[in-house]
Amino acid sequence: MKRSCLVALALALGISATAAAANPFSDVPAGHWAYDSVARLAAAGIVEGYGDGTFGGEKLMTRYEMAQIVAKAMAKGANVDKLAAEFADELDALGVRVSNLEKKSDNVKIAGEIRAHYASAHRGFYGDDGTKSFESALRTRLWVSGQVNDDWSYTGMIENVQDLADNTGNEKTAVKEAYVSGKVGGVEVQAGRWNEVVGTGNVYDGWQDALKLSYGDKIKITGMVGKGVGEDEAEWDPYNVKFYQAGVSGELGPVNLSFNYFKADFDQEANNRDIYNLTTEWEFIPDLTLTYDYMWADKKYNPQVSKDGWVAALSYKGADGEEPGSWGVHVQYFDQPENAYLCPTTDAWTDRDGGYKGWNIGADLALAKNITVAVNYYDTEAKVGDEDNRVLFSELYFNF
Amino acid sequence: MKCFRKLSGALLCALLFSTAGLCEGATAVLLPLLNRTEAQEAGPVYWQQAVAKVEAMGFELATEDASQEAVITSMGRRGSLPEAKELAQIAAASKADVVIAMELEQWKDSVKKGSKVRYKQLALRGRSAVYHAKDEKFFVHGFGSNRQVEAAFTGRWDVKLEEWGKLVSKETERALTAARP
Repeated sequence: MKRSCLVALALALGISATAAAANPFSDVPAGHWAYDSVARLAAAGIVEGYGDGTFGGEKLMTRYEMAQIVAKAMAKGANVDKLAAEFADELDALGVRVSNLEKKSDNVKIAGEIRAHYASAHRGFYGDDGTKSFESALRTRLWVSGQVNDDWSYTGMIENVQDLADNTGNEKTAVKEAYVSGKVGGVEVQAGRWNEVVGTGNVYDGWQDALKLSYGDKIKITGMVGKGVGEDEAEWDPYNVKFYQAGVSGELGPVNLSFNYFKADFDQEANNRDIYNLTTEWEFIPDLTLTYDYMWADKKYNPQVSKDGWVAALSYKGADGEEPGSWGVHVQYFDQPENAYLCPTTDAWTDRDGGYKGWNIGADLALAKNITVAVNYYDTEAKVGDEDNRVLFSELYFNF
Repeated sequence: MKCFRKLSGALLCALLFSTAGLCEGATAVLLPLLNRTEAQEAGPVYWQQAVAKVEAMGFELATEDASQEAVITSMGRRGSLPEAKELAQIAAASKADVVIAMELEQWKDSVKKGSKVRYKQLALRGRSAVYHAKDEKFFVHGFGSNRQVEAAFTGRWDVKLEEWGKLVSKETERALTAARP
């Protein structure tokens, strides 16, 4: 085989800094011009030697033997398009599909998700006393995403929710996401409508019409301005909020730190507030992460609660729909006064006048590829009054 | 068989050093990706995107020579990007206007749990080492992506690999832009 064959195939596979290939063949010493290429290809399983431990580099090979090596390299992901074209007949005889137009990505992507959820609560939904209540719904989401150009992309999502708890036929379909994202110079830009999770989401996880600018990599600065997009029930004041957000995040050794500031303006001026949120995230052993949120507001609206609160969580792994069998568990405790959050990421149901505190335990599992189940249990009580609730929230996701 | 050996050599030269669409002038050397992660497909995607960008910007890809092989071997053994003097030697031996090397440092994604939409948080990070022969400038530049992607897309498309391809393309363009004659 010519010298450039070996080097070319090795180059197509890249250099791995993680594996030092030992000398695999007795007739290819360390000083040989082809040593590194042969060692790399042998380590990758592209070439094999003879049974006596030699490589036989001076021996001639047939076109079929060469095609077999190209096929192995293709299987390992090497870019050998032109070689594949030349040996197409031989590869076809070996049963290897050759496509000069095979693309790894499509310009326009369509993806979907169906979620069936069932939730039951010890008390009713937000303030109903003494009644056990449940909700059940089938939610369908269809996303479409496309490249505008090399720097910009568009993402949109429509959602339909079918309430399985009643038969009134009041299913709703809405455009929940419609945003563009891209880069101007080194600044990342996102504008339109989407769901934003700031940090852990314990202060803000909400649908919004907004403009977000970010800059940086290991240390990232973010600024956002927008308004909340109301839910249908509109029972949440926070969804009628106009806000400004500024934040900085970065890594300090094994710890991820972030600090965020929110200025929230409501329809009722008396509810306006400034919120500060400090988050630390520490994967202290592989797959086990401790998260701590501290949040405080500039004023308190209820003399019975403090201005500040906190949330701590311990989580192990997490289900990933791409990896069947993957799973995760988590436990968290929260103590959050109402004025120190906007729309937190929780499925707990408690009359939140004054805020709430309690705990949550949950688990999720990827049952099969793109099928995930998650169950969460919440035990919470309002910080003002004696309103408490226990909620079991279960979800089954199908992605397609 | 002799014809076969010559043919395969010529084809491989054609594979690496395609002359289609080139204009005369600047020459670029692309060194293979130094991959510090387990992402095996990152190397071929790097090569695909970087070569495409080199050709699209009108550069000629320099032929491989002994100076490059020595640096490639050294990169693999040290596990780090080449130094300025190594790239300068390649530039001189290859008569190249620009020499580019890249490494992939981080290749991660994690599930970001929100109560309303499930996301994947990408964490890709790489570095490039570039030498411009014109003004004998050497620089190392970090690049990466920590974008949030709706988890619905990641099950069907290799979003990480696509993002990596875009990063490589932009980084190659950045390296070549200043070296244009």
